[in-house]
Amino acid sequence: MAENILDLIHKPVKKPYKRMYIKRRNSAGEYESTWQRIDSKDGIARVNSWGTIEYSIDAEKVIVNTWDISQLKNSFSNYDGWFNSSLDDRSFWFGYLDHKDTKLKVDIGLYDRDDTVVGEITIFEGLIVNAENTSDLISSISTADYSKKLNEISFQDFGLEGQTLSASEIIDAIFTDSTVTMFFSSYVNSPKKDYDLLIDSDVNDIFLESAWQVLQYLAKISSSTISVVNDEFNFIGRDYIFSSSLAVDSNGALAVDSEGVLAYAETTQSNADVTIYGTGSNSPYGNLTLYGSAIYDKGGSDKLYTTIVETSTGSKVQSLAPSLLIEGRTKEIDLSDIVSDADKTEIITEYLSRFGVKRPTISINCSNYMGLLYPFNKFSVDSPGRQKVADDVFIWGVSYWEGSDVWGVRTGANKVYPSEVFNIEKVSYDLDVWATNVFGRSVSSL
Amino acid sequence: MGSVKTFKLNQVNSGDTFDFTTASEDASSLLYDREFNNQLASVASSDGTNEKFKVTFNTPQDISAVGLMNHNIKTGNIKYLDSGLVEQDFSVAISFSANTDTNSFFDTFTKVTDAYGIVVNCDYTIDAGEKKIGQLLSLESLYDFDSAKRLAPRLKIQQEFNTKSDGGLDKIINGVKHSGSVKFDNLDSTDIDNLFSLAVHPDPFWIYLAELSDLNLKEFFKVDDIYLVNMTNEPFPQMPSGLIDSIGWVDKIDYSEV
Repeated sequence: MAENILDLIHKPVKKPYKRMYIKRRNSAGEYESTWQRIDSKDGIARVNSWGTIEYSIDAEKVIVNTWDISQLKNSFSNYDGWFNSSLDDRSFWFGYLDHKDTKLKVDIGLYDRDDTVVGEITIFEGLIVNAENTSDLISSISTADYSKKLNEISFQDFGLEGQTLSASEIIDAIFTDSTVTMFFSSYVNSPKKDYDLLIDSDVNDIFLESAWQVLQYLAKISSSTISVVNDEFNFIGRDYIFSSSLAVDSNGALAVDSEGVLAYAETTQSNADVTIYGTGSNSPYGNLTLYGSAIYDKGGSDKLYTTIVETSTGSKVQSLAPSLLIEGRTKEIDLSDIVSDADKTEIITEYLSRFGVKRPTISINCSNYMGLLYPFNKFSVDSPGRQKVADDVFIWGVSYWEGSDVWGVRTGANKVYPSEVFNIEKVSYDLDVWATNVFGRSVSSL
Repeated sequence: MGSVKTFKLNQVNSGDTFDFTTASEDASSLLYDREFNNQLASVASSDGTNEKFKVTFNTPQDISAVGLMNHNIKTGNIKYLDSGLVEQDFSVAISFSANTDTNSFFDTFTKVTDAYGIVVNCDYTIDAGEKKIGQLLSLESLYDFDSAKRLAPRLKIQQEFNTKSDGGLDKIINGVKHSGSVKFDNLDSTDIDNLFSLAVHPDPFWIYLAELSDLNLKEFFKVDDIYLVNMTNEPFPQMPSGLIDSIGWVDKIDYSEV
C-alpha cells in the first residue's frame, strides 16, 4: 500500500532522506545552472551537522511586517580540503568565486517501505554568509535566507526616484529586476491597501535605505505581511487574529465567537489543521504525538496590555474588564507612518484584542513535520495530563489494578484540550534529531 | 582459511569525464555514489540500440579489479582505455553473454598499468529494457591477506530515539553502515608490515570479503559485499602461545564503513 508523507511522518519508525546542494558563482558572478551535491562526495558523506531552521514572528510587535528566519549552521568533514577557500586547488570552489553568496539548499523527504523517497521538499534555501575551517578538519558554514540579500541592495538602484507608484507597483519593480530575480524565482504581490506613494528621498528618507527596509515599510503602511520561504517571496494582506468586535463577557474576557478566529495573515502556506496528541490522550495509532511534555502557560499573562495609546493622535483603546486593567500594562505606540486615522484605530484595536486578554502559550516538541507548519498556522493539542492511582483505593492483590476506579485521577497536570486553538509564533525544524519545536499562543475564545 | 582483499579509492569519481550513448552525463554520479540501489540507466534506448558507458580518468590509473554492481547487462563487455584512448581487453577478457548475474566482480586479470579510462559496452537484448548500472568500481589493489580465520560482521545503525509523552519511542534511522572484524591466525612479516600500513593509510579503502567463501552465497560473502571502510583498531600482532616460532602472527582488522 502506498504511503503518503503524512502516513510516514506519523509512523513510529522513520527513515529520513536528506540532501544538500549548492550553486557556485563563476568569475562573472553568474550562478551555475545545476545544483551540485555537497552532502556527499564520491559516495562519502560529508555533513556532520544538518542544523536547525527556525521561522518566527515577534508577536509583540504592533505590526508584524515579516517573519524572522534563523541562519542555518552546518558543519562538514573537510579532511581533504574540499570546503577550503577557492584559492586552494583542492577546494570545490576552485575556479569559482569564494563561498560567500554561494546558493545552498537542503532537500528532505522520508523513505517508504520500498525505499522510495516520498514528500521530497526544499526545507531551506539561501546564501552562504560565512565559512570557517578549523584545524581539526571541520568546516562550519552559515547560510542566511534570501531576504538578507535584499538588505544589501540599495533601493536607489531601481531608479524609481521622483515617480508616484502604488505599493504593488514598487514591489513589481523590485521583483522583476535581475538583481533580485536571480534569488527569488516567484513572488506574490497582494498588499491589502494599495496606497500611491511619491518616491522622494528628500521627503521620506526610507527611500535611501535598502530594498528590504523599503519592503518592510510598504508592509507596514499597506496592512500587509512579508513571508519568505526559500526562493518564494510573499507580500500578502495582513488579517487579524480576531475579526469581531471587542465585546466583553461576564468574566471580563473578550468574548469572541470561535468562528471569528482567523489566521493572522492571508498566508499562501497551507493552513495546517493539526492536532498533536500528548500525555493522557487517547492518541489514535499513527498520529502526531508530543515528544516529552508540553510546556503550557495557562495564565498567559506574560504579555498583557490592556490600554493601547497611539501617540501621534492620542487615540486610545482600553479593556472594559476591571480586573484585567489592574494586572495589565499600557502600551504606547507610534503609528505616524500610517496614512489614515481609520487604519490607526484598526491597528490599535486589533492589538488590544490580541494582548488585552491573558492568552495561554504552549511550547511543544514533536516529530519533524517536514515544512508543513509555519508561523500563523494553527494547531491544537490534546494532552489532558497524567493519570495517577486514586488515593483512597485499598489495593489487595493485583486484581484491583484492573478496576476502573483505580486509575483515572488526573492531578497537578496542566490540561490542554483540543478545543483550544494556538497560533504558531515560532516553529523550528531540527534536521539532526528529526524533531519540530513549536511555540504557539492561544487564539481561542476564553 | 580465506582471502581478504583491500583496494584503493574508486577510480571512477567526480574528477573523471563521462560519455554515455543515451544515459545522462549529469547523472554520472550514480556510478560512484556508493548507493548501489540507485542505477544509472540508458534513456529511451530502443531494443536495437547499444549503450556505451565511457569513463575517462583524470589521471592514468592502475587497475587490479573491476566491479559492476546492481546491473542488468545481458550481453556486453568491459574494457580499459590505453594511452591512445583505444579500448583494450584485460588480460582475462571481461565479457557478458546471456548473463543473469546482477553483481559482477573481476580480479583475475593481470594488473593494468596506466589505464586512461574504463568502458562498459552493453549490447541490446530484445525486451530487456533500459541498460542499468548501480555502481562501477575500477580499483587498484592495496593489500591482500590470505589467512583470514574468523569474520564478525555487524550493522551499525545511526539511530535517534525520541521518547513520546506516553513513553513510546519514535525511531529515526539516519543511516545504516557495515562494520566488522576479520581475524587472522597466520600472518607473515610482510602481512604485518601491510597491516601497519593499512592502519595509517591516508584514505579510506575498499574491503572485499567475498573471497572468504568460494560459493559467494552467504550474507557478507556475496559478490556485492565490498565496503569502503576505515581500519579502526591498532595492530597488535601476537605469537600464538605455546607454538613453535614457524607459525605466523595472530592479529585482526576492525573496520567500519565510512
